[in-house]
Amino acid sequence: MLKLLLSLALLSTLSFAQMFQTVPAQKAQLLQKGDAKMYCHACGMNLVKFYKTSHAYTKNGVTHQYCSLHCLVNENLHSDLIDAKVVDVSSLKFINAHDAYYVIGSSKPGTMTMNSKYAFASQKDAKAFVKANGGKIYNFHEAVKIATNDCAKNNKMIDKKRTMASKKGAMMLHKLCENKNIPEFHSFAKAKTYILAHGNCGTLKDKQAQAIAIYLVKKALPSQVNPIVAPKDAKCPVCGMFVSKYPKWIAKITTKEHKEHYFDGNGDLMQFYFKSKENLDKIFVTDYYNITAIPAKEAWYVIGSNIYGPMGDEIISFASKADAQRFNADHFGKKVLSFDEITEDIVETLR
Amino acid sequence: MSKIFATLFSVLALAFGLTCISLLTVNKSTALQSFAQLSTLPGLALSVRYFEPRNRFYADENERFFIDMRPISTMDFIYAK
Amino acid sequence: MQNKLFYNFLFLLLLKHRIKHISIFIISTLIVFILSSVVLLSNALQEEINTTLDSQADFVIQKMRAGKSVNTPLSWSDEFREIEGISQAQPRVYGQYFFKPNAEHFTIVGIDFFDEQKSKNLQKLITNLDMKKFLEKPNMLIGHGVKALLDKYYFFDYYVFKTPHQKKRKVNIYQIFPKESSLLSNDMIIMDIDLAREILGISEEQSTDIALYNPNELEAENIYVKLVLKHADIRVIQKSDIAKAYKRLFNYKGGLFLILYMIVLLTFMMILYQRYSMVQSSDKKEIGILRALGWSIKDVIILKVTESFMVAFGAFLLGFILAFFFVFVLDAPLLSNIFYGYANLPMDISLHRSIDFSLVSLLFLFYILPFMTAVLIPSWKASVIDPLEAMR
Repeated sequence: MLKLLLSLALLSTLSFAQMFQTVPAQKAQLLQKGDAKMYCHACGMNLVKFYKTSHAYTKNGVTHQYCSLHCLVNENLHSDLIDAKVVDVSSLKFINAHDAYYVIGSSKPGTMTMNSKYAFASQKDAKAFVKANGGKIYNFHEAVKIATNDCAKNNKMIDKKRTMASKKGAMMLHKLCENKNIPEFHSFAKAKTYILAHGNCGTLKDKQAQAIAIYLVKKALPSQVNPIVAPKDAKCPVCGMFVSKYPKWIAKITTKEHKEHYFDGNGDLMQFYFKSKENLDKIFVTDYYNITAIPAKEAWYVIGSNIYGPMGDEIISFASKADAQRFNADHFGKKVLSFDEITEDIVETLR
Repeated sequence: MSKIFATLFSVLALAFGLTCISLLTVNKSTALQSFAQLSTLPGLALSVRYFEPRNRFYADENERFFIDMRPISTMDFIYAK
Repeated sequence: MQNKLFYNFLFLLLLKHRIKHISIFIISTLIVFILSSVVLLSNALQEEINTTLDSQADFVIQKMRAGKSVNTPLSWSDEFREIEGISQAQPRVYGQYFFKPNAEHFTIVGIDFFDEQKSKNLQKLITNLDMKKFLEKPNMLIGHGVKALLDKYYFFDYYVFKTPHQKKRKVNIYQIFPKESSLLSNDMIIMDIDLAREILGISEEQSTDIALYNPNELEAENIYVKLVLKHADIRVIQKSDIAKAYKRLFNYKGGLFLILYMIVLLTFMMILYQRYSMVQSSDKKEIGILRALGWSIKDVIILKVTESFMVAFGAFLLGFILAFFFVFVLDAPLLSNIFYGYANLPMDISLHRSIDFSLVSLLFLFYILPFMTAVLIPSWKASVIDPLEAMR
């Protein structure tokens, strides 16, 4: 009796600490073969940990297992996915995906996506799940369509996460692992298996191994983007104000004679630019959102917004067009322009 | 007579000088700032907080930002009198 | 020579009236001491806290339920990362651990040791920290107050935490934080984030709250609105809220001293009055004699003013030096109890020496000027009348 109680207590603690997607290891079915069978073929995540959203797909006789519908769709874009299988959340067995009822958008967290997708063998179970956690029921075809539509958005989110994980992974590899000459990898799952087997890293947690694997595959870390730093005594050649007081607005021009000019706003930069166009080498402006240096010719600009710079009306610069459009909508801007679209007349109206 | 005053003044000047020296030479420690960056918590150590609920066990720690607001977990504002 | 004679006479005069001067000197010293030690202490504390404010998150997100904050789902941080202008969304894990034997609280903070910024700061605080060794076993870094308390219960090398699931977790004490950081770290325990999750009972898909960083503060208001609209049960705390809370904290503590200030002010007025009447009555005769000996009005006034300036300035300097010693060398015993709380672990802070000179000079001005006027006016009055009348 006591034993039973104890084991029950243990079970409940285990289920508390775990994520919704996780199941006990002995209950998880692994359809893949090989060393890396524990991990998602696309992203290398632990399949037991994300078992409830697991998918499997057999292509040319080889079965790959994926941690989520997103990974499946992302790896096999524009394929018919005839042989796809999915885990039934109720029975934890693989079923044919085309017969499954997908609950999309429930309050339970999703894997690799903000829009969670769980599959059920019976409609009754799916309805019960919807009643408890919200969401809507779709069939496989519709679910794939939704996942395909979400792909770009999810990839952007995953990319951001991977960049962070990669930085941490680099540090983990440096601090924890003794094996320093590690071969190159192209698959997260393979890198993870290798690092766990031959990395000499002590006891790595799954999360840590994943981060190291991401670092090993992505390797090239995005170079640190720095803000433009103006010397303390630098004055704007157009308006004569000290520039370093306005770090959010600094723009910089390097002439062909390697002379550096700093400006306290893009408006002044443009005036200078139109006056001495030929003699300029590099031009940098500051990204409004992140306060980082970006090349002026690749930047996007918004005019007429309700954000004012040190010189009043300002041309505000952004690293991407999407950012500029978003800002334009948020701050009642008049127009989104590329560098070439800015004319002398526009600059003149700002003065 | 002025000898007494001379000694008194020199003692005072010496003390003042020592104060100035200690003010200037003891260099600023960055330990606190490093720690703030490490924990990223704005709150002072609990020992320094000035709002001390009578029953700490029920204190809602997150009220440290809204220090005017009574923590809802101390019910004495309902059961008073 | 003229000057030397003058000062000689001045010192003789001071020595002669030493009983009269010494009472004023002692009371003035005491007043200056009390006032300036309060000013120094509160200013030093404020300064230390302001330095920590810079490194705070621009927004802190909490999930609210029934007016209490509950654990925040991790998926929120992915959502917030999508908002333009937010450069970083950091889920934080921290909370209180109740130390039953002494009925005190520890603050357990879980940090990710592989975060670049954090590991850099950790290296600054703890010299030669071996990350591999630290993470191999459950280890923790503790503040001074925690160390003192654990020592009291004979936990010298480790402590056994109890998780919310009645499991026991033995965690070794790895190192202690330097004393200079104890304003924040006194009752804090820092450990690996996963270990902290286990001890605090926070599941893997949740965090205590989320810290957001926004490099451009012009965008702060806009982001605030976007955040508030994202969820119905969200609480967004801005950095300025924290700054305000600090300001209020010090105003409140400073307010306690208003009563003290008032008493001090009253005493000061009494001193001034005593000074005034002293010059008016007993010094009147003296001034008359000096005038009869042929001193000019100017000389008499200079003599009287220099005399009391010496007393006042000496008292101010001594009071201030004593206050400096009391606050920064002795760490302000008694007085600090008013500024620090005393419900949790006893506080042991070493304050950094910082002085707000504008406040000190203001104190000097408001002390010296009335003092001088209280002497100047009666001595001028006494010296302009006929010496014969003054001597009478």
